[in-house]
Amino acid sequence: MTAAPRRERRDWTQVLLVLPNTVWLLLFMVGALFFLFLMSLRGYEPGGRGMLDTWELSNYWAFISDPFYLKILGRSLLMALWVTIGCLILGFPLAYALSRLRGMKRALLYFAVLVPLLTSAVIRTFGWMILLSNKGFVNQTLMSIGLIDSPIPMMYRMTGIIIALIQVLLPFMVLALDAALLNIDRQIYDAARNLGAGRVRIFFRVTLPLALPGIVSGSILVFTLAISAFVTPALVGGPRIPVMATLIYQQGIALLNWPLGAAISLVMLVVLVVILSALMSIASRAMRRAS
Amino acid sequence: MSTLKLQSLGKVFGNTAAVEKIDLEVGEGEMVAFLGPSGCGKTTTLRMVAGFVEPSSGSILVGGKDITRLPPNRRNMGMVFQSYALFPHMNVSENVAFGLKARHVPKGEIAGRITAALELVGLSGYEARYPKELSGGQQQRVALARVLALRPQLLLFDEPLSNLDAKLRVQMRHEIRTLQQEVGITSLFVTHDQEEAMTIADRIVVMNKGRIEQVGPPAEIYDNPRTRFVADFIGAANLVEGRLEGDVFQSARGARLDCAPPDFAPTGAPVVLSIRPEKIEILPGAGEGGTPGTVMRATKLGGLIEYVVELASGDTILVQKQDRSPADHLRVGEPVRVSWNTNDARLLP
Repeated sequence: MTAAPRRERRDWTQVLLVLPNTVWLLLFMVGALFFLFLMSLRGYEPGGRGMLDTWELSNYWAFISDPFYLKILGRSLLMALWVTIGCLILGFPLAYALSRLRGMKRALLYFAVLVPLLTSAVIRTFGWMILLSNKGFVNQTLMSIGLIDSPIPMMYRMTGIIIALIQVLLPFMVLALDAALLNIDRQIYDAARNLGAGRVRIFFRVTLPLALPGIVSGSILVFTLAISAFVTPALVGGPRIPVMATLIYQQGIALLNWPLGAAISLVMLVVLVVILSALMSIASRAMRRAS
Repeated sequence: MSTLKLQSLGKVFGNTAAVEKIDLEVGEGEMVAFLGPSGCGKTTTLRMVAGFVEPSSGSILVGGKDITRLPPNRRNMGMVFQSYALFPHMNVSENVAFGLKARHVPKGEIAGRITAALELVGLSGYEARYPKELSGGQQQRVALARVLALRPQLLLFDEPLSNLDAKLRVQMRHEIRTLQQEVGITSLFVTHDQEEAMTIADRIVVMNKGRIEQVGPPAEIYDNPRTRFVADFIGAANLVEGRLEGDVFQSARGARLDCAPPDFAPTGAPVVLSIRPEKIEILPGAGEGGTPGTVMRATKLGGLIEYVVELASGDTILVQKQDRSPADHLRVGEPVRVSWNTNDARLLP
């Protein structure tokens, strides 16, 4: 009898804590998406009148039936996948080292991991353009030490976009993995060694499965950020390699075809939600035991 | 099942010696407890034996074979950790199987060894449970089964009971002791809990500041401490500073107290007299016999009553008595006399 009112009050506090964020999201996320959805159903007349007052599904059909657009979707997904894989491969050893450090050393490495996020996206991307161009630092160095005869084209290529995106998004992966690795009791590694396991067995049977929550959350973060990245594909890739983000920008801002732009945005959102929820359900099944 | 020999085993971290060249022999099937305050080097010693810490000097011999340079996964030892260190993503049976697979035990043999090990620790039927679904005591039993299944030469316990609640801790002590005697595996048991060490071990190694203070069976360690540290650390002890005047001990404050003849050559340097509180007889009134004093404090500790007695010299003596009847209670301020059997008062250098 005495517990009930107190509980109620605590529930109210929780509601209050969540309220501002909920209102914000409803207004500017759900609301905006709703208007985007309405806009995607409008007709469009190129050149003359632009957006029409009609309601139709032609924009979705235009996207789905056009191999050019579908190819861009495929390219974007592939790009995000490679960036995610790259971040995982580069990020895991780094996160492992970070999770093992203590005190000042950890603080320094943690800061070093975060440094890329302190630079503006545009400036950072210009930096990559200088590095990646045919006469850029990377190619010049490789040629001068005789590893290659002619420059490897990376600017205005997918390779360049992926390299630059991996650098930008690596911190997100590392921080997610670090959090997961920190959660693993160190005595577990000792126990595994004591039970006779070598380093390879420990990595695949202990470290990797226990880091799975971090791998999943980091991958979701990186994949989402990569597929919606705009500045890097726009500058490093240029108009020759459109991805979803640059395509939406082009439709909306350059061609003023807002209905098609809105439709493409929503298609991308749906594709992303489907992929990520499939990924999460697989991962959560694997993790259910661990948690 | 093997003997263990530590030969001038030492470990230096930076400028500080965590373990200072210790020597120890552990017999086959023996259970030896390493007891000491935190930072005394007991855990470092255990981790050197396990192979997790590389010794700075000396060697480790198991069954006469030098294993000092062997990596931990190639030593045939089973370690039980304070945090249990079970694999949270594996069920009980998979946890026990992990070591068997890592050591390439034939596939046909694994299932049988798992069943046998779980039976040994009384967890048959828990094969499919995950560590999160088990109590602390059950988890520690799984950890025990996990190492017992490997039939190790040596069992290493690193404060395995410290995370359990008091009642369970006492119960698990006896279980581990019984199990260890049943399987007869030579064992090291690190603990900071003297009661635990006393119950579980054949012999206790008392460590302090990286050195071994004393090695011996529990009773000997308690009744015949060789150093001030041991007398002070194990149980409660009255430690009175003073010096020897011929055959008589004289405290720094001037009290002349009975004591056993020293078993070291007296040098004239200050010595300390050590006597356990329960060995002291306390008599009411200021009559004949015993050293006179006054009760300063009386505290009831369950079945015991603890008195602090101030002697005429100003030295204070702690006395413990069985609380048999309220009629025997002494009041604060009451004059009393304390006395003891000369042999119970030992001199320490």
